[in-house]
Amino acid sequence: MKYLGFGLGLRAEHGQHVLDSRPEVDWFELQTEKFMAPGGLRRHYMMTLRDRYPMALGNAGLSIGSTEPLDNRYLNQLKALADELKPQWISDQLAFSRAAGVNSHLPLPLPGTEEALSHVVERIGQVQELLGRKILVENVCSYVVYREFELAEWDFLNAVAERADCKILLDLGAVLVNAKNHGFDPEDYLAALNVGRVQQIHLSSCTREGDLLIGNPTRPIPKPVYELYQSAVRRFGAVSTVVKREGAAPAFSDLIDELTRARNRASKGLGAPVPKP
Amino acid sequence: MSLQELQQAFLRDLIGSNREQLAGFLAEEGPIPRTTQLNIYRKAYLKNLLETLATEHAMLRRYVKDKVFLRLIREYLQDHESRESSLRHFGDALPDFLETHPNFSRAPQLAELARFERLRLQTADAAAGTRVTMEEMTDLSAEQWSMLTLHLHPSVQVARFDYPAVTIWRAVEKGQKPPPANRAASAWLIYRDAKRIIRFRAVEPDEQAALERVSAGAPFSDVNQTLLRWHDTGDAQARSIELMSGWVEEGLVAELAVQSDGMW
Repeated sequence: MKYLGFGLGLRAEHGQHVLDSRPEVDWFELQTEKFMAPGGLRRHYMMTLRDRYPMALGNAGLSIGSTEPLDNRYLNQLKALADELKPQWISDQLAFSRAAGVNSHLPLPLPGTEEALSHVVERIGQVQELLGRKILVENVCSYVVYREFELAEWDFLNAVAERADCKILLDLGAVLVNAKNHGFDPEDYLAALNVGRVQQIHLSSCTREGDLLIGNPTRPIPKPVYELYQSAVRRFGAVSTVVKREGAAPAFSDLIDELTRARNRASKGLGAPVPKP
Repeated sequence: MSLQELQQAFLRDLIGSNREQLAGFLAEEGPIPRTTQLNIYRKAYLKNLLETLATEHAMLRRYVKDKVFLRLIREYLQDHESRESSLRHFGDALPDFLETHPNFSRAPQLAELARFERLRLQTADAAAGTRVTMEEMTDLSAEQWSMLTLHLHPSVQVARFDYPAVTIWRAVEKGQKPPPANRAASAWLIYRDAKRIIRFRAVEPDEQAALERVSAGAPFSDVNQTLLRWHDTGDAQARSIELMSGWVEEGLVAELAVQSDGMW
């Protein structure tokens, strides 16, 4: 499996700094929607930096689990961007955001039913065929407990990856959030996933609201996520990792510090220095 | 109950058109109370869209203050649910909404302020384009000048406002007291420079008319004709050269097309 090392999301606020200083970042993940415009600053950084750093497209707009038809116009825009950028891979969220003609722009969780499983597997097949490549699907935070379900979240994720023959983008912040809110052991989640399917890891944050944890990628990565990361690396080996920070741009040096913490945790998990990508 | 019914119930709950249906799909007993489950998503839905528009319309938000901005967005959402896969165009209808809303239309500068901010977004995202240099312009022969058509950079936009929306925007951005919103027509040029910085400046009526003719694909000789509304023959020609030189210096001209033998 391709290993890219330790990466960050590419942000317009940091683009010039990255261009000027060539920081110790192994690769960049691009939030697709922010780079779809035909011109402008972000696109300039994307096109200038693509020869210096490996890049992947982190997508959130396909509404891959929706029962509404795929948005072919959006899919074609995504394909055009991918043809131009030639990313290492493309990911999207294992969720739905669109129904009844409306887009919530939120990753709404799918129920762990056979119907949902069959549906999303078919949709991933359609997307993979149009894009001409395998994609990664990402687990999301869930705050609902559906009345009807047959599969636990990790079993659903595993089954999707196996039946659609796609890879997994494992968001450890979301695993931690769901474990706390739904009362399971996050280590059990990791233990249940097929090792060969996890191609990328997101380190993301969360905040406490009363008795609940809420996903909050605007915050620094908390210690429990790094601890879970160490376990994940022990199980899955060296996996391409991105520190996911959204919202107001943090100082670039803060992100580099996060990458250093991630490398140290990965090294502990591996029991050896992290390999070079 | 099918997957489709569940998904539709979820979205109807978020937009508030049916707040009863989704509960039937959720477990009554569990680690998270059902009301809490619903409220987390309802709150996140509003927050996400609010933050999108607050980022895109940062000066409008500062101008009306947070409380009014929140009310404005809540009312906008009632008739403008997002139907696109991308959020980039979610706020496109905001200027028209403000212009026609019974309350917000009483302050017509709000619609214009929103329109100016959307024009800035379009300019920021516009396709890249070439930029003509002064050397290329001065290399034109007298004959070529007479057969010349200018193509403007894709980021260039000219807009007319009836209220001082742009001066309000600028004052708010600098943290200064905005001017009173008295009716005062003005035209503005908005463009992205070679360093990809968004620029804007006021344009006089003759320059506005000239830019509109050029944008419409008219040959440069037509621009001279247009300027005769403000200048006599000799001055019009000098003014057209002055304008064009200024546009080239600012990087507004993407291409000089010279007609030859009746063909472009």
